[in-house]
Amino acid sequence: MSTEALDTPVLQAYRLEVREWLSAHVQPLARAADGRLPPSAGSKDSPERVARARAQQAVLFDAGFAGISFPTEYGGAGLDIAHERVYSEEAAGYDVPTDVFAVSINILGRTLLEHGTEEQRLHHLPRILRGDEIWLQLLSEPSGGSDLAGLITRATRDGDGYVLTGQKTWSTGAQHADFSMCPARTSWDVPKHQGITMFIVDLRASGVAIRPIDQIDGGREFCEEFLDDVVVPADRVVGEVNGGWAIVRGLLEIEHEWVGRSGGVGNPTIDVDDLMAMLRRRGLAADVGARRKLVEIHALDTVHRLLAARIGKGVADGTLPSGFGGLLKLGNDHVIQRRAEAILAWSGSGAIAWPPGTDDETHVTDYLRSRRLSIAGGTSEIQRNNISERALGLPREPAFDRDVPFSQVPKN
Amino acid sequence: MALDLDLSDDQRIVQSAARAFLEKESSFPQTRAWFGDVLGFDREVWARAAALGWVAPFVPEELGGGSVSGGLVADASIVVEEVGRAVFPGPLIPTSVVADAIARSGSAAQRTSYLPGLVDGSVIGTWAFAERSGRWDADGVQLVAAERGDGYVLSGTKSFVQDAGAADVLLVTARAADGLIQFVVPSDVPGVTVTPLVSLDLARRFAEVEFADVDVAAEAVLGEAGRATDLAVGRQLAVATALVCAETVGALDRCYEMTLDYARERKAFGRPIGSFQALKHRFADMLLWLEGAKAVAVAAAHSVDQDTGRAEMVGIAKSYISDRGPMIVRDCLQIHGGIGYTWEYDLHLLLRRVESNAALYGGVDEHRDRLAVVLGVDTEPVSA
Repeated sequence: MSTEALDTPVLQAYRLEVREWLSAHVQPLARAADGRLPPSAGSKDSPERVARARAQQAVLFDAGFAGISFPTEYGGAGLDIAHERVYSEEAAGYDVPTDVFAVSINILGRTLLEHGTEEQRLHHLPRILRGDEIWLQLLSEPSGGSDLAGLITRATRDGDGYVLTGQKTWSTGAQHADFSMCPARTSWDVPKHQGITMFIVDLRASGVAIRPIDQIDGGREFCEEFLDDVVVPADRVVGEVNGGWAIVRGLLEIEHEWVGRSGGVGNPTIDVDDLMAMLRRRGLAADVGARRKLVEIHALDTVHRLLAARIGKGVADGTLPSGFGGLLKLGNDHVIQRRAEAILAWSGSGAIAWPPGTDDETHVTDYLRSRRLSIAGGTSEIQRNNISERALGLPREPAFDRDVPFSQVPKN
Repeated sequence: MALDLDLSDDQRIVQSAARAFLEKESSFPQTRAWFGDVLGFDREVWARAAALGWVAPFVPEELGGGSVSGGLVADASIVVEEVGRAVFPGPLIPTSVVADAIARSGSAAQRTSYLPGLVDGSVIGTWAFAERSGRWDADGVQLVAAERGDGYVLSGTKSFVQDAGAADVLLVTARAADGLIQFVVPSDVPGVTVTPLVSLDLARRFAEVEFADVDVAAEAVLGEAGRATDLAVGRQLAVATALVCAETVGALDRCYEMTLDYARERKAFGRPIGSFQALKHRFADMLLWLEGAKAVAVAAAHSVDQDTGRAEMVGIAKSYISDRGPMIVRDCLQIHGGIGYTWEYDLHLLLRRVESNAALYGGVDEHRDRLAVVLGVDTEPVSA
């Protein structure tokens, strides 16, 4: 759904400018016979695609459509998120490499903008926006995901810099990335939140090994990373030494707000016309239950988009507490999972077995892929904790590791 | 957090004036005191509420009205949301719908004889639309308007008519030989009998209104019969539905705040019950639905005001709010535990308003079925 009806005069003018530029400079995506766009998910892991994407991104950067809401001194266009939304809506039918740089720009770039040193910002942000550097975050570890502050990757002071050793997991597209933000433990004698430092780690550095993970949907977008005595210069610390937890929280807040606002990472975009076409193909257009479910999904989707606009604006202008951003990820995951489940149900026995390459195969794969949403980037349970504590101010559950030196905490 | 985050200064003044008025005049103890009243509210209080401009958005300036933003439903929603928070029993939504209908399609005589009174609170209006079938669409209208002489004879029974006992003027939607036709009639014309119903919402009265061969003059017809009336009825339903959504959101907001306060204060196992994840997770989910309800209620009001995508957006709003609203109030009661089940605790006033509004002007399934038609689910796309 386009939010065009809500455009202010300024946004209307911007929308026309974007529309004109895109139609003059970018190829529209080829639509299938039934008018649907080809699925974009899963196609971003080839090196050729990434190389092509970098070239496309450079063109967008030069035209002012990369980092639309980033300040101009760091290579952005100096506009706001409403402009960014307008651009995304207009660019939906075009061959632009949004998915390749989405995390790099919107999560890592934004985090660097808010928390990096001026030197780090001036050096890296233009490169991130232009696609010269692809960034990601290395947060989860095999020993724990939800209990992020219990991370055990070790950073040891060594001369002018640090040496990092440990293992990270569940990073998206790490095989094509250039840099990461990677929290590691710099002190073991203090409680867990107080001994973490955030580092910028060069993923091409010696001692970094990256391996894709085989997922339940057959994809390999997620990776695990092995850090073996990786040398990191001291000027690559983000924020304070032992103050990295605040950066992690800031990064996650940015991530959750962005995921919810933008409709998530690599999710199939299915509009109500697609759903109706599915119902008709299944012969369910006259089935009351199926029709009501379709309308329910469409309503959830529409409400979520309105909510994203409300919260995006409310958080930006301070009328809503920033903790409300967490609602967007929760809501986004809910819509996409409910939709994938409904489509799976409409497949009926077609979800048991199918000839290769049919719609049923796509629907089953979409369903399997949708299960990641309420886990990746923080489980829904952790989101709910954060919302209730940060947006509503409800008390935390008691914990056994809060005030204990991390070295004494039981671990996996 | 208010329904609309983007209010103008003028709209904020309207909002804070409404809230201050309702806190003083319609506290929960006062609302309870009206439970046993036959009208369910005090006409003098309603007149003072109207004097604050509550019906004004729908009435032209020369007849005593005026909108602060030009968005009639958006303006009205600001006050209606406050009415929901307070569970105020006054006839704001039905009077607004009648005023809007007369302002848009009334004759000069109808406009000058009814609108000044509707806007200053001396005249209460309501819309007699649904019947015993409980349907909230044109097909549910079976009350017959038969031509006789220069006028019509109305026969049939309307039901679920809000504040019919208090109303001075009725907007009646009827079926003539060739389609829908509407009338504006004083409620005291011979042959009209109002029979009160028992209502779930204790702060609101509903009644059946029987028309036993009621003679009405041709001058009582509102607007042109036929297509114009179909459009007018569509607009009335959209205005009423959008306002009911805003009212529900106000009640939900209050209910959620009460429950959050309770969870912060109430202790069990040596700590506030709001520290238990089993409740925190429910509060997070409820906040998602509540904020979604606010966002879509605002969009529905704007869609009516701008007349763009109205049928779709109002349907989405009503089906979503009628679905999630009851889930929120039920959870709020559950989180309160035993106290929430007691008569003297005020939570059930809000629960009753939300549950009643969920069905008023059509429930979840009715709106989903209608949306399926609006979206064209069973219409094959035209092939190129």
